[in-house]
Amino acid sequence: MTRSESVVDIEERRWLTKHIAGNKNAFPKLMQAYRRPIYSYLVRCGLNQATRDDLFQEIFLKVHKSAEQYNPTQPLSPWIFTIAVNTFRNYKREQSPEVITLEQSEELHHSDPTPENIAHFTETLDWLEAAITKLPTDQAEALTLASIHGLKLKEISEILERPVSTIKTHIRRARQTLIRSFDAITETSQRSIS
Amino acid sequence: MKICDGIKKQLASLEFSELESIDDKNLQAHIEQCVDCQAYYQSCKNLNQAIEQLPEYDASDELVARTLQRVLNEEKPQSDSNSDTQKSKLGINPKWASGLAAGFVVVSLIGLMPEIMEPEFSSTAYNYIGSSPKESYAYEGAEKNGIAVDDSAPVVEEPEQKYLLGDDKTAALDTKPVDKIEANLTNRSDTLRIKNNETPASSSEPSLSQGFIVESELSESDGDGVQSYGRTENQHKLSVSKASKKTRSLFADSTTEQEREQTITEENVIVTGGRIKSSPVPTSQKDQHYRLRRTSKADETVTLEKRFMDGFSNTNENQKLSRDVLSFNESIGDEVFEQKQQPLLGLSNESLDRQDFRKEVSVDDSPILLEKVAKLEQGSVAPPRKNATVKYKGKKEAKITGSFSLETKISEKNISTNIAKQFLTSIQSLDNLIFQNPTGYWANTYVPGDSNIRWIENQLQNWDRSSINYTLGNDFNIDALVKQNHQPFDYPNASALTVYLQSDHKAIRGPTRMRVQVGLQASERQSGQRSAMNIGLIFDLQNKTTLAPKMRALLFALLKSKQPGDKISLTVTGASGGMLIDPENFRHGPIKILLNKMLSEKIVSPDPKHLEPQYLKLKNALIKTGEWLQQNDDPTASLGSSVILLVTDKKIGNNLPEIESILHQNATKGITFSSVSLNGKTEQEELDRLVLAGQGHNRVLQSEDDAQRIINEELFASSRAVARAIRLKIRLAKGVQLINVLDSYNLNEIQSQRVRDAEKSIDQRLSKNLGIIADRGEDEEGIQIVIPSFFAGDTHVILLDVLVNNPGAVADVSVRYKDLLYLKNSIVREHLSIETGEKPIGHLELNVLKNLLANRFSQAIKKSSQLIRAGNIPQAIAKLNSIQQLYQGIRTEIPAWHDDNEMIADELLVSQSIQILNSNILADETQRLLIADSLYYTSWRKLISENQ
Repeated sequence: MTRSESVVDIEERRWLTKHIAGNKNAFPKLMQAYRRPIYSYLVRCGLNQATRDDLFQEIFLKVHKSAEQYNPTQPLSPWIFTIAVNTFRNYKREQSPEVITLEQSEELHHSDPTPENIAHFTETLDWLEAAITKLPTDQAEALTLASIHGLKLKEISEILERPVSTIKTHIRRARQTLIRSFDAITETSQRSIS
Repeated sequence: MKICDGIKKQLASLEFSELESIDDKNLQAHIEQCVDCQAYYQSCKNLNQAIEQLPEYDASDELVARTLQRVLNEEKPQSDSNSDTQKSKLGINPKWASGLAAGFVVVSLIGLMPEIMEPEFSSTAYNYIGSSPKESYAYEGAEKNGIAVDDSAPVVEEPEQKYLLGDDKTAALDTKPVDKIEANLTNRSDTLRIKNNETPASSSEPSLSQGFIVESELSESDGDGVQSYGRTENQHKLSVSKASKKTRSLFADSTTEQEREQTITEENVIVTGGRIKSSPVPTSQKDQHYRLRRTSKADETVTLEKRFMDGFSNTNENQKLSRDVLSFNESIGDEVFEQKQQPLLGLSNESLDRQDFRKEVSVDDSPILLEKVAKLEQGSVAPPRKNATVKYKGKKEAKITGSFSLETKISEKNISTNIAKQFLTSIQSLDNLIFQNPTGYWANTYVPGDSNIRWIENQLQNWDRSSINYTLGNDFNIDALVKQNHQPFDYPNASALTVYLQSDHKAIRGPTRMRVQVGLQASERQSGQRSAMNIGLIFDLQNKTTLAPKMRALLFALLKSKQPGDKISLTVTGASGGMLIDPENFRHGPIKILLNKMLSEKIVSPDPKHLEPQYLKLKNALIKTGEWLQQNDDPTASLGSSVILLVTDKKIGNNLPEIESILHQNATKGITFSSVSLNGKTEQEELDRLVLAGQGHNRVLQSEDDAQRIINEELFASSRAVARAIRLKIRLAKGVQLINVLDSYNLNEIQSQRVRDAEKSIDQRLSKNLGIIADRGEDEEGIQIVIPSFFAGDTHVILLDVLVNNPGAVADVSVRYKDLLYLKNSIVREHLSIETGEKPIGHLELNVLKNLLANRFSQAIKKSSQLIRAGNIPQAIAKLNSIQQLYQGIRTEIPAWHDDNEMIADELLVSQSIQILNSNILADETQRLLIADSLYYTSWRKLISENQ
């Protein structure tokens, strides 16, 4: 059964319709379902907490305001992520480039891991988080939506308003960069151990 | 190289799911031939896995609440009616205006229908966000009907404990993590995959047993305050309106009912919004499937259909089950969840032992109509209904007295023994408690294949029991009949391992002592073929002549099982010792020659102080063999494929700590150590210690016939494992104090360091040869237990004795492991909360209690065995008597266990043992020792999986 046909998918498509109809529980359900994916997306956009929180609210407000524009015959997830991506892009256009941080791990501030923390660095996923945030925006977006949020290429192409082939290219380049990054770190690690 | 560049580009372009199995044959063929591209492909897969392991971040509850508030304060989105109005403003023909107005009215009415039809949605928005979401169903007017439910106490909305210990990341919606969803649990007895649209059930809800056929209405409460567990259909009232918070569904407490409803929505949507790897809709963990059908009739009756399934007290293998598949069919204004019945493959519904029961519940207090009821199966542990008349297989039983209460309130029947009462009192006693620190490393209690036990098992198989059977008048076979209690754990479907967390209490009012049970269940599937092995065989033998047949049997068993790719060497200790057969020459001829030579040599016990220079000591033999294995070790081979196998009949002696250290170092480099003892039980403790350090196994060769089995076990050990480096972390909430982890103990620093090193070595090795990313190395909070390997089909239970000072959060558990079936790092989490109040315990709680009893049973039998060995028969009998009386009393105190097959079987085992001990057969010392071994084996077998 494809995701679009799943019971869950059918269920969540009705939320906005119910929300429009005045159902008070529908929007909370939607928020509960999407709070993590949306917040994770914002974290990986490399934003600081205050900005993340602001955009988080803005995204859901937009979802609320645009509810009637949503077509319930289509999956909800790509539609919400479209709003999220556009909100982020609008924000970026208005702001100067930010310093990328990822607050969850202090080690990530080390762009060149020292031998002492290399072992830990490679043994955790922190390097991956850091590497993703350093990717060009297009690549990071495409990779994040595909691999982390489980969206299909066609859906991502609609969200990011790029051809499918372009999305594929972005994902490919992102992966190649990440693989090179990991190989480099592993090599450094092995050299430091020996 | 241009070709490879293109291939790599192609690989990097593949969708994540396509990476797992490549359809393009040309691409596949190239990868198989090209080492570079193969490595790149592996890197892509590793990256894929790493990305899948990335954590999900969550907004704070406060942020979510704030956002929701803003949304609610905003103007509502426009409905269709408004757009119609707008359209008219845009110039629609006035002639249509009246029609439009009528249409507006109709549409508005339709829009309002959900409000009428869906009172469950009338609850406040905050039900789902952050705050306590429990919209509980409680009994309404239950006390009128003889059910002593404590409605006087306010229905407590359990404080939101999802952020158990303040750690947002780990605990948020912990009952429904993505990883847990990926476990995709199904019932053990059901080979049919549960369809995707089946609603999941909360892990803490009781699994319904077969119910009792209820003939009559409940009578008035006897006023003894005993909490009843269930209620008859005639008294059942279910209100789905929020206004009536006291309604409670049958056989489900308020928490679980609400949780399940939430689970249905939250879990499903989390699956949709999160990283999906397996079926997007989680399957049910337990066997309850609810059907809630709301009709569109004006009386707004709600028909509640339930199918009772007992997935875990199914002791009757002939029971046929049908599996309900919940399909979801919803339309605005009339929500209908239809339940489809789907028989198991090959089985028909006609032979169902259970029947549906259906009742109608009215929101306006009208009586419930019973249509059918579930039928009790023998040996079930269904909770009783208070004062109900129970029909059991067509016969009318006496009235069921109240449910079991851990407060030792005496049932109406008042049949209980002092021992049972004392036991129940003692396990709740708060006097003189000594607490332990719930942190650090604790001993692993999952230890399959104890070598000593194998020795005993072999002895018992060869035991001529004719005289004992004659004395008994029956077969004395307790060691063959004993079984681990059936556990209510479903096999995981899309992972190697899963965890269940339960307590023996459902609700408390104040400080309460209870047991928390962590249950581990492995998948039935094994991980695959055995890999090529490097075996450094060492013979360290004193009595070569006597043991010649066993030596020969082992060597030729090894030769028989040898596959191309295996490298086996043989080193012998002693004078003229050394590697006497290298892998090139491990063949029949050289083996035979060597054996003849060894057996023809004079046996001279060397003076340890004056050894010849050529004398090869065990320690040196281990070092040399380790070095040889390391030179020949393939880092890409499976962990456990480089083994030092010691065959010995000697004690290790003073060198034990040094040797232990050597073996530990070897193990961290991927070279494990196993042993085969030829001399029974004398040196088992030493060898057990060495194999623990060497991450291997100790086996005992009882006879030559056993040689092939032992060799096969060693060679295939690694393939039976479905999970490695299992790290179990148990964190107790504030206000919860640890009394004990049953059968375990806190490790000291040296032991803890060994555990860490062993875990890390497995972690790194698997990272190299299976591509499962290394992710260990950090100590964690809470009780940490590391289990090196977990084998297919096994079940393991860990019991904690704790004092819980307040209702609310009790514990959360996480299990991280290397999944050898799906080749990934996995993590499964569970958390446990206890409600406020007094609630009768259910099936799951009883299971915990039963496991506690099994633990006591095992200890008593073991103690008795030791007493028999020591010749103290009267005390052994007394010990057995006390456990028998405990079981009898408990079965009376807890009517649910009155006809429990497992407990009755255990009592029979004890009876048999007492009978034998009272006979004159014990005059024969051989028989006495065998009886002692039989009891010892029984005590061990009671607590372990059948697969072992």
